[in-house]
Amino acid sequence: MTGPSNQAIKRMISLHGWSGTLVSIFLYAVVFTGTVSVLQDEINRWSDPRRDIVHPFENPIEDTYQQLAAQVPGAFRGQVLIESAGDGSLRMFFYEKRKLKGQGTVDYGRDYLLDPETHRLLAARQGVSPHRRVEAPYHDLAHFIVDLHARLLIPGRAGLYATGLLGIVLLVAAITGILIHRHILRDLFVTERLGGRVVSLRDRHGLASVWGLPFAILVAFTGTFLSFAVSLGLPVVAISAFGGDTERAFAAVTAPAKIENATPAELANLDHIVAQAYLIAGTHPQFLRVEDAGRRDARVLTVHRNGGNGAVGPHTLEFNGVTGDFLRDRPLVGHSPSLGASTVAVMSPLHIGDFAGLASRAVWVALGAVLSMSIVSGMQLWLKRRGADPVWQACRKILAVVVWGLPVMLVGAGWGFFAAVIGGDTHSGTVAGFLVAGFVVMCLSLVSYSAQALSAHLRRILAWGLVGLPVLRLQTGGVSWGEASWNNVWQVMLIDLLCLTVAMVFLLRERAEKRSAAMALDVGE
Amino acid sequence: MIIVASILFSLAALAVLIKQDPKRARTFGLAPWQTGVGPRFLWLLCLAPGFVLPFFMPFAHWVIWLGATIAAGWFITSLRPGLGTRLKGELTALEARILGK
Repeated sequence: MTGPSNQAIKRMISLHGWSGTLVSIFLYAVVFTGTVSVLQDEINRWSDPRRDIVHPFENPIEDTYQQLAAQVPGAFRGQVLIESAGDGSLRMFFYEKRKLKGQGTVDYGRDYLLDPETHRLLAARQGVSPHRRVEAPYHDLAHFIVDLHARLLIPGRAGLYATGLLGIVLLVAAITGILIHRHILRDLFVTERLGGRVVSLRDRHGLASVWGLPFAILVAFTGTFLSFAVSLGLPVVAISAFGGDTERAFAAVTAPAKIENATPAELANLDHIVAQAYLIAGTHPQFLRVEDAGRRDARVLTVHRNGGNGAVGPHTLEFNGVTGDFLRDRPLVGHSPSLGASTVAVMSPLHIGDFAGLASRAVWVALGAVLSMSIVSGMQLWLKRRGADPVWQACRKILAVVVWGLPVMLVGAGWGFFAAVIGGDTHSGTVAGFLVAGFVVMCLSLVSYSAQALSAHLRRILAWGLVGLPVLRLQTGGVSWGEASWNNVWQVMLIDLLCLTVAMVFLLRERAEKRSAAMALDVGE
Repeated sequence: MIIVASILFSLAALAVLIKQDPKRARTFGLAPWQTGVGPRFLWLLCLAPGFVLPFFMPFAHWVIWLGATIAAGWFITSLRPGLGTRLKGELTALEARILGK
């Protein structure tokens, strides 16, 4: 058996290098923000100043459901959505499917927001299905980071196309990387050599890339799928078979056909169904949906997030709406269990590492750091090899701006968010913080005389910015460590400690570098 | 607990593999560590939890084992040889500074 010819390897090296170089800045932005957004849930809780948040399904809901169902018009009683609203309150949305001009089929009905513990009415309105994100101002910081990761802040489907294409580039880089690296196993344990030479950077890039290879292929594939499935796959199906009605196309793909039976019948007790669902899935439902309430063919669905009872994918449990009997775990796609449906179900959990609580997320953060290191070291190696060329030399500064500037801008977004928490618009505050930090990074890049000096400045700003985040959070009414311990809000301590630890690592490293530079100067003298 | 033990077991095998890797030793001018255990057997030990876990644990645990072993494997490989000696030297210097020697 013979391997690829030298000519073919040269072509692949070229493809590997240029495919990475042309989009490496965006690739790094997507991978780095993706690594941070793995901790989305923790950041959400950390940035939320409320002390005690009750899960809406921890308390019985049956009586409240019956009371509200008696108040709404008959047309809205058939379909019901019960969930935790973006602001933590309990939502009961009674609705019907209605075709609106220019909007296709929408859920239109009466929306009630209730206190999750006492079920006191907080708000009520009538209209199309509610927008959860608008109701969650305290989650704006994490939403912003996830948006940056999933769409690079490009509005509409174009953002998803862009990140989908970046996933393909990452896949190409990973595959060509395997083909051009002839001694992949022999170099598996070769640590970076000292001296900052080309060979040192090659070691650094090779080590991070080879160890991170399975993860790079996994996130590239799942990320590309997630980007294109929503932005391209579903709209194409909707246009070709459902006259452009995405909602109807989605329902046809996900909801199985059932034998109609309009005979009137009482709905089963929802509390019993929630209790059964908890036993099967191991978690409270994310939301509960009642289909065709008041009829013999009524169904109740409880949708649970990924990872319940050791499963990687989510659970969608289907119950008979009249007897309350458990019918089946409904596949995410299609009408009966299949390999395709199981594969689609694990795409999102495997992409974001959300399938075993903090354990899986911690592992995914570590793997994301390895992948970020692989991309950065690849860029460094590319520039080092072209050190003599003044154009490529100028790119070293751009690299410093991106590698250290992006984390600084994310910290700036955090500062902007907390500054706006008291009475301001948290979304605008987050965006403003991000842009102001970006402006500071650009100004610094103009006045810094070298890429090395710029990196050192940005690392220092990043470290002190991270130290300031927990302080600012506390000063703007955030949960203190005492309150966090009392209410078991461990996320507050986790993210605070993470900020302080990362800052400490950078500051200690800077100190050590200064000391060794001073010692080298002494020896020279 | 089983999952933590599996990760530690794989990392222990990896640590020995790293220590006796001839190319790494050659690169840093060290003599390879002789254990008398072949690299193939060590690889088998390292990957053994990956073959066993699927039969006893849910799939999620297998994925965590794989991910944690990869991330920690990269980390311990990234540490240059002689870290222990360097750390010892740093601690001795710190002790001397604290005691004012």
